[in-house]
Amino acid sequence: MDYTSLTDKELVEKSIKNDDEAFKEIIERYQRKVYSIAYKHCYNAETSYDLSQEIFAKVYLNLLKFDMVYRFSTWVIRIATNHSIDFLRKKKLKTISYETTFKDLDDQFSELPIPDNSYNPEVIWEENEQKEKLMEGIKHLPETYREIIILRHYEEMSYKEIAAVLKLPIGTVMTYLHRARKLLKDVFFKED
Amino acid sequence: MRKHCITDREIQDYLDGVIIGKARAQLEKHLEICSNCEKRMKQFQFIFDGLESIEVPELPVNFAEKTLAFVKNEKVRVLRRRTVKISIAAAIAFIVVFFIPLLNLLTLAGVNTVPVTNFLTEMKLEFQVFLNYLINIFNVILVLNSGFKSGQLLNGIIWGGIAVIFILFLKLKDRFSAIHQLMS
Repeated sequence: MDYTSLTDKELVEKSIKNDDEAFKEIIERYQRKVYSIAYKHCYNAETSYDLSQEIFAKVYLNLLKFDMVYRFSTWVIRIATNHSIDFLRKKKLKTISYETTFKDLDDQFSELPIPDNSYNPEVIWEENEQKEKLMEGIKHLPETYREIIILRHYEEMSYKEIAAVLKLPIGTVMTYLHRARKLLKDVFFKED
Repeated sequence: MRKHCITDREIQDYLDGVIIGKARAQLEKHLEICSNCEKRMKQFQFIFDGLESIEVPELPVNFAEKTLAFVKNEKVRVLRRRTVKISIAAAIAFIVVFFIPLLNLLTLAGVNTVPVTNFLTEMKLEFQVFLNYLINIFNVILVLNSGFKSGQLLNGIIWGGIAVIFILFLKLKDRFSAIHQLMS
């Protein structure tokens, strides 16, 4: 049987009936997306591999709870996002809050490995050090801001899709996205 | 041409491609003459580029096969855990239901069950006392609460709190008098 021609919902129905090949096809369809979401939360290949496996296990064990009215991809992404958030919560990362950032950004970030950067447009992103700083900055963003940045910039999702995954109004998604980018900008370009 | 500076939100919308047409052209003209806005635009552009520059490593080979095996193992583990939970619950239910008959059987068989029955009687009395306290507190809250027409819940909580403090005070008073008697 050619599983590649089946729709997501047909594969779900078959997986519920213990058809392993059907679930394998689901894994193959979403492995890249799930792995990418996991990686964007931890920036570690090994950890994201483990996280991805756990996410697919969660998907499999909760297939009966999936409401066929909704899109399967949104449901999978929501599980992947929530599982990755839980992972970060367990690690108890200190996040910055938007309200206090503009009051005292230096203090908030003094513990982070993000040194002060005076304005330097010549800096290129190929430098790993800069990328690591950005990754650290993203990791320490408030939870919802981080998720929106990941879904928008990495998963290239529309505002509507992000709103569906995070269960937020579109207006809130847009506001949070603007704030998140501004936070990152302020971290990189602290004014003297 | 616009006179005021571009907001951070506008800069981001510009980079997102949300601002188009005439508004976009006006914004670009402003950027030519305002060094502050131009600087902020470059800073945001830097962040946007950075966000696009982070790449995800390649997936390990046979990821789907390995993940499927992992998922099947997880299923077995979850089923096993559920079985253990159900077994424990069944065992507890069995003990609760058959505890008294078992005790009687042991007594008939000549086993000394007096310490167990004494312990159970004491536990029962303690539990009754505790339950009476709870019922008293709840009754006081209900009585006081019913007297208020508006803000019932808040008033109930306040008066209930006072009632609890009063009951605790009475209880402590009893304890103190008992200690006093012992000391004298």
